[in-house]
Amino acid sequence: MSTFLVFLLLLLPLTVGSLLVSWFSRRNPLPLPLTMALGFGAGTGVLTHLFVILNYIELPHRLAMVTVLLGCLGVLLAWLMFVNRNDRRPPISFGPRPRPDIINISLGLFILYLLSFIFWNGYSTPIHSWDTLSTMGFKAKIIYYSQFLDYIPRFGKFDYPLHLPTLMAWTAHGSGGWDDTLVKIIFPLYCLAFSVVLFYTLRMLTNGRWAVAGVALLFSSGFFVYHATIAYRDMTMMYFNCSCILLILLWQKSDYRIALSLAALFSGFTTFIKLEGFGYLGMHNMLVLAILTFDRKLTLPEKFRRQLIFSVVSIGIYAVFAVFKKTQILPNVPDWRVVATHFDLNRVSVSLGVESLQRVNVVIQRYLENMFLSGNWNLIWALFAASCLRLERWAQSATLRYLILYLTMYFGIYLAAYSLTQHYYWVADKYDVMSRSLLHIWPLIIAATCILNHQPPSAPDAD
Amino acid sequence: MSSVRQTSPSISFASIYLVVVLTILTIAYLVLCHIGGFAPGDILRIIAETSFVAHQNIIFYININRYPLPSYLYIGILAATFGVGLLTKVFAGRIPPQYSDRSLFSHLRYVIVVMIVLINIMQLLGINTFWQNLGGMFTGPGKYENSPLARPKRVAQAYRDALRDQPLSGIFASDMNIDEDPGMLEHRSFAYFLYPVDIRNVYNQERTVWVAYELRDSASKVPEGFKIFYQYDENNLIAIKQP
Repeated sequence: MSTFLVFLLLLLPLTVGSLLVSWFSRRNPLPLPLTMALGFGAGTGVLTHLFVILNYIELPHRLAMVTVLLGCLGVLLAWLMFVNRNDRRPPISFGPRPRPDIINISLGLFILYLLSFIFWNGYSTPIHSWDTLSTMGFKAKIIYYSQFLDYIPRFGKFDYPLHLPTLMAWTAHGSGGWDDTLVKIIFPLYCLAFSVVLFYTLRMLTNGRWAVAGVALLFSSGFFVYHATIAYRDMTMMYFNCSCILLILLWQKSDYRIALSLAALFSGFTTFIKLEGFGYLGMHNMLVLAILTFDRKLTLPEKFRRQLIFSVVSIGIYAVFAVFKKTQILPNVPDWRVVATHFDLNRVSVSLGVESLQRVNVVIQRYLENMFLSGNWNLIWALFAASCLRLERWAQSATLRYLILYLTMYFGIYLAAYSLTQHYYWVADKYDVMSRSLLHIWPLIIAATCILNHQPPSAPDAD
Repeated sequence: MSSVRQTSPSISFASIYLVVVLTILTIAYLVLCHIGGFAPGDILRIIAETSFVAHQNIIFYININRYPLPSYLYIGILAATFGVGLLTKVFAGRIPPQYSDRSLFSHLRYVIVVMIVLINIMQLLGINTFWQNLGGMFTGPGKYENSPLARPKRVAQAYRDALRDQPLSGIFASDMNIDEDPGMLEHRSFAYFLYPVDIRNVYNQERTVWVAYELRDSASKVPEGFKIFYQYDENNLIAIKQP
């Protein structure tokens, strides 16, 4: 009964998010599964940001109030959709559906089997992983029992974004009590939602065959499958970060403007999952800037306008928690300057010189070991590396070049951060962070592999 | 018409291509087993059992003769790539041109895809084992009964019931070393299960409960001013500060 109740409860952010995405794309609607897949992220993102905003006001039942506000927003969006119901054009085309041949059916069954494992595991095993017990789950419990964020400054990792602890607390509150198993339900849902986003994006960027194959490759990683079943932030981070990039690529490929607006929304929400989200936000903005810079069709004022909208929306969403942290959390931390785990850009000590060159060598070695010799990623990195040798595809596809640009930015920044700062320790001596940070861009490797191997029917892409 | 044939190779020849790749991979596998002195069946069983050793930070494959499993997979991939490349050149003219004209890199990509499918099959077997083990570990009404977290969960639940879930601040006392595992994980999980009774100084208020967990002969160590409120067993009890 409780499981059913939680599913029923999660229909609220799903519906509100889907209405929000539908409202954004009201003139050229997206397919319903994609609308819902993006809507789940948008709805949960709005929900947790509403909770942060409510913390400025003295209220006794903030989690219940979030539900009420979310419901009101849903009604408002439904009304707006109803008013604009005659203002619709044909839905945007994502290419033909995959044919039900033996290969697609086999791949589909493989995906379904792993999804069933993920859902069974996600819904039958309680919280048992280290970070969840130690920090994220604990924070969620703090929020659930207190219904405010006043205790966060007293707790370790007080500066971490609070999307998932808040969402877990809200889920527990709505389902009538804290349940160590039911609060995990959101994680497999993010995995499912992202599979749908990847499927539709690949269908547009390649074809139906590669869309199915791409999702199957996504599920070929044991590390991905495991993370979809445990309550860690990285699967959710992957969902928001990669959805944002894929939407930007959709916009670049098809000039479907709404995709850029949605990407801005997702870029902002990325910052509320983990601290790294702020770095990703910067990289999303750089990618949009690069696409606009090399675009030959748009006028300069139009380019400026689009970049401005993307930056204002993404940074505006980031500002919601950033301002709250600056004004409400940090001043109440007993002495955050001496807390060793607190991430502060001013405290990053950069070391240059011969020693750092040796460190670069070690970090690259660790990356290669992780990508090619661990059991995390199957042999997908090897397939990607072999596919990169198809140089004619680089020349044909601008989308691919932008994707590779983003991956280059990602590796450049992480390589510098791990090699030149004190964070070297986490890579050289431990296995804690590298795999999880690679998970944040893992689907992009698959997308790039699919684009590289897809043979367009005509000569070079029009993009 | 010919262009249609070029992009859509017949299923039958694709099957032959696949069989050739699998045959070369099998030969490479048998040769490697022979060199290493392993029984092929044993290695296959070990790979299947260890292909999904899930961990939140990294998944390691097994090492065989000091080298990780993927090293051998790459040897197989190279052998199959060169083997199939050679065969398509030898039989050029008798096989469809889309196979004979294919570059070595193209063969490489196909062979890697075949290997990915094989690893997936192994991984599915590993996932099945993992599924069964996990199901056995997190069972029963409390979900944690057979897991390493069963002890902290049981004791914390008993304390919470005794204190009626009041948001009290507590002083934690234990013989465990909570700065290193396994004590660190046990402490964190105990604190998680015990909340809203707080032993991590979240509330920043006067600490009115003394929480003993895995503290030998805890009754004799109750601090002055506190009185035993509830005793779970010899090593676990809570004491309340007297007014």
